[in-house]
Amino acid sequence: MHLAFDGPDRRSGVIGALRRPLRWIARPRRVVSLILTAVLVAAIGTLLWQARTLTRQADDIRAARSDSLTWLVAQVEVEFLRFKAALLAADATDPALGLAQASRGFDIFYSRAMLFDPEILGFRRPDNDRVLSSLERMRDRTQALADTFDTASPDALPALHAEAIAQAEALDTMVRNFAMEALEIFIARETAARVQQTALTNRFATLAILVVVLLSALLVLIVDLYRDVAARARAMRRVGATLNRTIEASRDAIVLTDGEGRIRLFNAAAEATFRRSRASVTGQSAASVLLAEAAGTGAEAGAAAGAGPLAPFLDPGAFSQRGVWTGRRADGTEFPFEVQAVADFDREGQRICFLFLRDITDQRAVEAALHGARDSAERHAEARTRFLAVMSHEMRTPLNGVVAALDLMARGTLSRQQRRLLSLGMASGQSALRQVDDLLAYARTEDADRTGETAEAFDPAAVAEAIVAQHTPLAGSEGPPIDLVVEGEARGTLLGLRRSFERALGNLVSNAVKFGEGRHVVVRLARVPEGPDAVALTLRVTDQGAGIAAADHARIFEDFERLQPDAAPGTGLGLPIVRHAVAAMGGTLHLTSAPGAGSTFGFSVVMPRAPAAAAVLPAPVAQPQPVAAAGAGSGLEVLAAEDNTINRALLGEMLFRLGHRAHLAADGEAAVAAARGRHFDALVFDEGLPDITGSTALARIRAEGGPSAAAPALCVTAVAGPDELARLQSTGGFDAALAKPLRLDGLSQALAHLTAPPNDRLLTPAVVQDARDLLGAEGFSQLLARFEAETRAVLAAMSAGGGDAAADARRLHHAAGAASLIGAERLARMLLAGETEAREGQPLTPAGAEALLRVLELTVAALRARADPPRHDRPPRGDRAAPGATRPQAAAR
Amino acid sequence: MSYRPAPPPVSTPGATATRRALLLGGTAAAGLRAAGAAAQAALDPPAGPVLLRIGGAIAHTNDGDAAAFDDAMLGALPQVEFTTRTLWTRTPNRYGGPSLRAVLAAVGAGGGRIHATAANAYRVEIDRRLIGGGMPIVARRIDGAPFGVRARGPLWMMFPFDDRPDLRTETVYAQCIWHLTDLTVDPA
Repeated sequence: MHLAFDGPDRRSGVIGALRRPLRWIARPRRVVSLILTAVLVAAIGTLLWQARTLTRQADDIRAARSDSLTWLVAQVEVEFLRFKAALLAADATDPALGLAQASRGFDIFYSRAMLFDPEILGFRRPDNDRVLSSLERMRDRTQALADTFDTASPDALPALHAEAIAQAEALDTMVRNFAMEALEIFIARETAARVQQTALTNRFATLAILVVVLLSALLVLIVDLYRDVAARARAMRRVGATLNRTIEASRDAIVLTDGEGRIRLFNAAAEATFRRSRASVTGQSAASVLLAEAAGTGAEAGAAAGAGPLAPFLDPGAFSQRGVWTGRRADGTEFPFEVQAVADFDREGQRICFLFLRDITDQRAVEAALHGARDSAERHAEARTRFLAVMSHEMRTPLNGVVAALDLMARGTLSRQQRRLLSLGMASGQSALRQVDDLLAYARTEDADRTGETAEAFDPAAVAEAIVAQHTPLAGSEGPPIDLVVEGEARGTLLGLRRSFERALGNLVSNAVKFGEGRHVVVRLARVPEGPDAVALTLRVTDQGAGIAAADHARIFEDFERLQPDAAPGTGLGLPIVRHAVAAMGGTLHLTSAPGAGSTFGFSVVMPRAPAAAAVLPAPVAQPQPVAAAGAGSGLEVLAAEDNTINRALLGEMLFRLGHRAHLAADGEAAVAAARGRHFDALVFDEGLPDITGSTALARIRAEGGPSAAAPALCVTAVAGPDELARLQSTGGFDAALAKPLRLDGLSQALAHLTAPPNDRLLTPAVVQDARDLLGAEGFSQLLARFEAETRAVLAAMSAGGGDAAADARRLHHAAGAASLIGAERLARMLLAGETEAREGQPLTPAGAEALLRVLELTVAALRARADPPRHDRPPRGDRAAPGATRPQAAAR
Repeated sequence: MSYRPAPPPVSTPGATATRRALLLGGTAAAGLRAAGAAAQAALDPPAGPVLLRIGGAIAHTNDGDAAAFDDAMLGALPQVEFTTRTLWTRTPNRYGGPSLRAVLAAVGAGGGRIHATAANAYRVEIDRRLIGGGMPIVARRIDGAPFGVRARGPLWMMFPFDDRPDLRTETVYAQCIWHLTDLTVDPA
């Protein structure tokens, strides 16, 4: 089977491209042949001209313009001799007759002699002077003789005879001389003509030889060119044959069309792909044969009518184009194919186009399968995440009830046994909550991109302190001591993913506590400047637990992996959460551990420094807050909306315990109606109310402008998560949000924040002002110095105190009073909170003491500034933001 | 009395012109009829000096087995005139006389070769293929006047060289015999 390349004429662009170098090689020969041809033409022209000259000469000879002069001249002598003979023969017997005959002979001679006109003979002066004078003399004498004859009288015939003879004798020599001289000239003339003719002939012959030589050269050249062309044609046929075989053997369908899109070539693969025979498609429009879209559409007018939608491919300017089309087989079935077009010009300058077609049905199927598999995997992952979220939510609701109930119970009077059991229950409930929170956190971190956490300014040291404080064992509870060591730059606000940081560090600390076998845990935070604008942050959490074999180092970061599946508590999600969180921050994890040598988990992350203007957030979470410190908020009228009966009862009980009056609503509409009727000091709404959401209810209350429209609002939600809490505050309109389960202290703190107008401020300006006015600048400074010294002494005593809670409580109470007196509002509140905890048997932790010390320093600095003549009427507001109640860890701990 | 032969009678120029017009303007058949008519009549003996003697294979004679013509007899035949130059003359001249064809017809000449002889013993064969179309003529007048032996007369075989360049060849010039005295017709 061979293709439709019929001979070297049908040359494709590919073959045409092969020809170009050959053409270059052939060029010098072409120049030579051009020159040869020009010379040949000139030579042939000259030859023709010469031939014409020769022909003219031949004509001249044939025309015999001069008759036979030699004959004429020779004849003159003959006729003279005849006349003379007749004259001499005339005798005396009949002189008249003799003379008459002689006269006739003379006449004949005369006519001949008179014939020799110089012009007719072609004699010219001065060359022919001699013969001309001979002629002159001969003619004169002849004329004289003629006169003699004419004038002769019949009476004097003998005298005439004698006279004639005498004259004839004289004439004889003249005629002879003339004849000789004339002949001489004729001979010379003939010789000259012959020489000229010979020269002409020679020239002609030379030219003819030249022409023959030139023709021979041309012949050689032509033969050479012919051979070359033949060789090239053979090469072309070979290339064509190779191309044909290549095209024929190609697994891709190959279709060659002309500029109008008509099929010239259709290879075997194309036949198989389109299930059409070559014969049936050759000359047809490619578009109508190949494409499903073009089927049935008639040939449009225009150059590329046959090409139809394929027309753009036929533009040779667009050398290579690609596209995907729907093809149609002979049986009408359709299939997708990919086409790669290569357009070019063939040798005649006609456009041609190679279409390389590939059926991509299988490729499409594979792609679809891959997409399906991916979608399915994504669905599964989503389902798992959703399952985790739903399950944790479902579990949190009952746990909420359990923990809150136990919490309330703990505030009652209990026997030792009851308290022991209660704390066991609390621990179990909280453990369960932690695990649920772990799951939630995992589900969240696994999909870090979706959390959409954005960088914010925070102080890693403060976060670390808070986390350490969370895990520091409270009085009466078990757990190892934790030390925080801050190395390098002590403090400074950085820009980073705060929640990821909290999550990673929190889990590491939690693990260290969990697996540290009760021994000392050290948290090290190292900050090393990384260029002028960034800080390399390294956190290490070291425990003195059993340690981990090197073989297990990688494994334990995998999801749900646990070192000893049966022994340790926990979900096995702590380290995967760390891994995700660190990855989200772009940091690196490290682990140093060996069996028996404890473990050091850590991570490093580079964070840019926050711009100076960025707000410094306060130490965020879970500073022990005074439950009973709600003095400012006591006696609040609180509208609480909660649909779950148990939770509603618990909420009401908590509010009652906090000294507030609770007005309970079971749904959103009831709450809105209640708020419409009277003023409330605060609103506490569950977000997940059955009829309208808490935020909707709040929005209505605010919008209606009723008596409670301006009341501060707290949201309580079971949909735990920082995003959700942030959303409730930003778009939900709440002033604060708490995750369930509610704890009494969390609720107290949140309400205190909401309702104490100068909320959590460092100083009470009015008190400070009064004290300063009363004592004067001098006295105020002295009071301030004494206050600082005493408070430092109290804190130092407590740190060294060794756990006498009752003594601590007394000291704290004293210090709080002093702080209140001088207007150190936050410090007083913190000291009171510490007192409350101390009364409940929890000694002040080192972290708590550290926090108190820091606030003391801040307070003293601020008061010193005020000891000078008053410049500020208002307190600094810089630390008034972000109530700690919104921190998820507060609930998730 | 002069030793010179008497000049031949002169035909009137008007009659000559008329005949010439007749021959040149009319058809060759008219000339043939005229010649035929002349042949019917017996050839009269010449009255004046004999200028041309025709022998050989001829049908009509008036002098033994030959036919002799004087100037009047030649003048009685249809006359042809033309003007031409020759190799031997400087200027064009008007030549007049009967055509050779008419002369041959007058004697009933056969189809054999024709030999012409001159008074100066010049002899040449007249190519029969050249005969026809009013040429050659046996010229007996130049510019209307008879011409003597001294002027290559009295009879001169003449071709119209000016009108027919193809005649200007040595062969034809050779047949231009002057001093014409005798014609011999070979048997066919």
